[in-house]
Amino acid sequence: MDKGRTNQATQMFENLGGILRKFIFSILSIGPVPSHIAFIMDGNRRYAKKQNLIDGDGHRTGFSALMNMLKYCYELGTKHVTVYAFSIDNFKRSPEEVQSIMQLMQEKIEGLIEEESIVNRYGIRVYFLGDLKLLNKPVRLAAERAMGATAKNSKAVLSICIAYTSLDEITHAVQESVEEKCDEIRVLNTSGAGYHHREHLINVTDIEEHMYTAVAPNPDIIIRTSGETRLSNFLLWQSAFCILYSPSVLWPEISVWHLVWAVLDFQRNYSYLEEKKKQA
Amino acid sequence: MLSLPFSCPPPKNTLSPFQKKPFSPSSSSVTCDRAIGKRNKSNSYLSISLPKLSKVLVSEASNAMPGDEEKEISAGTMDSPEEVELPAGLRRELMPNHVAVIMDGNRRWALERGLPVEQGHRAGGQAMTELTRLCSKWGVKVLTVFAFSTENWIRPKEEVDFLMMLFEEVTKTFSEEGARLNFRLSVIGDKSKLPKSLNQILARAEQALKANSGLHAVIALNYSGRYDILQVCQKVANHVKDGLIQPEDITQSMFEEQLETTGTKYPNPDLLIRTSGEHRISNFMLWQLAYTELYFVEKMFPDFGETDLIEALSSFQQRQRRYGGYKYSTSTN
Repeated sequence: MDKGRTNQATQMFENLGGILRKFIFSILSIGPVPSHIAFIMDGNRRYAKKQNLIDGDGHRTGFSALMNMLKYCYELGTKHVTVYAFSIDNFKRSPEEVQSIMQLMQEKIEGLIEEESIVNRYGIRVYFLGDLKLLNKPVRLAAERAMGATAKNSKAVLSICIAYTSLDEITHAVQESVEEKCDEIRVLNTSGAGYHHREHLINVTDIEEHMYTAVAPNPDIIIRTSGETRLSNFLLWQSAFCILYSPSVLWPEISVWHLVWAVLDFQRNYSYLEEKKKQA
Repeated sequence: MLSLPFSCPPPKNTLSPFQKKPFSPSSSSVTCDRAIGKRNKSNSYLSISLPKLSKVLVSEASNAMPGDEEKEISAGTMDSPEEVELPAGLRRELMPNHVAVIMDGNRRWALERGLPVEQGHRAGGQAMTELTRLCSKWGVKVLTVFAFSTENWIRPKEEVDFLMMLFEEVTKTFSEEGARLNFRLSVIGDKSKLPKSLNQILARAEQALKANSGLHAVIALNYSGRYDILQVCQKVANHVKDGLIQPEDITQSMFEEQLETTGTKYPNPDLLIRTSGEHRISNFMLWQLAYTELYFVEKMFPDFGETDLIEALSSFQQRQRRYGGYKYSTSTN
């Protein structure tokens, strides 16, 4: 009986919370709303330590926090969300932790494409961005299945950076654009059309087209939790003009209020950011 | 918008301040560099990493700075950094090797005081000189300042012209200070758009201070992080087009060697300070900031003084730098 009442009370609070949240979002939406927010989800292990959990449970709680933040972002009207799930640098951690994270990721990726998942509810298309060949086969296959299953969704986009670093991404984009450009030149030369020499073989657009993150515009805000103020090899090129926000809260404890604060900061800087976009 | 003390007119690029390594296809790796957490091998930041920290705490008698393989002996009248006492609370072994600064807020500083913008830039120039002196005194090896961005050309012509002129003045002062305090000077950025007179003064100053072994001051003039990456792309693309290298030879380390920052011993900043309360990189060194600790301060740059620098360094020294791994020490977090 008591359990039933507790559940009802929880449900009621959640509903009230939802109404309050939607009200706040509707006020925020009067001003400009960021079209792309990126998250560095830092602090899962510290949270686990703080709560006396095993490391793996910190990552699990972190996943729930991610689902909540996605919900809030999409309710607010932000179409693109990018998250830094696993860096190439993270392979340096203990094999047990890497294995545990890989297992969790496989489980959660498969969960994403289930009927009642948030991805289908909000019409989210999912991308996995990074050097996917570095992942073990089950995770890579799960990622490819998820990308295929959500390919038709078009309301919003979730980009999950996995086996990713920005330096790897830039190097890879340069390799591909150079290869493409040189192939073009070769074709022109062999066909007799000739190549008209230009001072700049490669321009900004060429590189950006070949970035893993070409599926989304540059982020408006990058939020890194746990108080660390560094980019850690995440979206270095793309972050040139965006706002950086580093609340001290650990990732599993992030709340809608942090998002509200970040959006208010974005609105305060909006005219500057727009000017920079035009110049770039 | 950056409010910077210097503006760089576009003279011809007569300088090559950094010795860039030539492409050598035979020595570069065939496959794309899939380094797991590897950075440029000359990057000595890893020597400040936490596994060594407990040993450093125990052996405080040793005054060697992290990554300092050769002892740099000051040729000037200044004491060598090891002998100068640091402000209370700062630890010599935790000093950042490379500090970068986005000197923002000169214009707002002037407007707040009802002064003309030019006064703000002058005050910023003085703050920059003082900052250089302090960094040199406390053992920072490289100081990079974001003086003029590729985006700053859209400012009013009078302001840009004034900045160019101010920069010529400051370079001359800097040259005198550098001779006395053992600085070196380099400039990064697209110098082809800077005025000829400014480029000549810069070249003379660089030449005059070339042999010094103390602080390496790097001025970013008409520079941006994307410009730096793009200029590497052009070089690399031309080499591939001419058949000197293959696309698969383009690796991270090869790329880094071609960036404009490659001429310093510590090309990647440990600490970036940005004044005026803006929390943005604003297209400063993007590649190089991959693992840099970012420090944002509300004050406008002309007001950024010794106490503020101590706070910034102190904040840096308390940070846990993990590079994607985790702490090895057994102390509780």
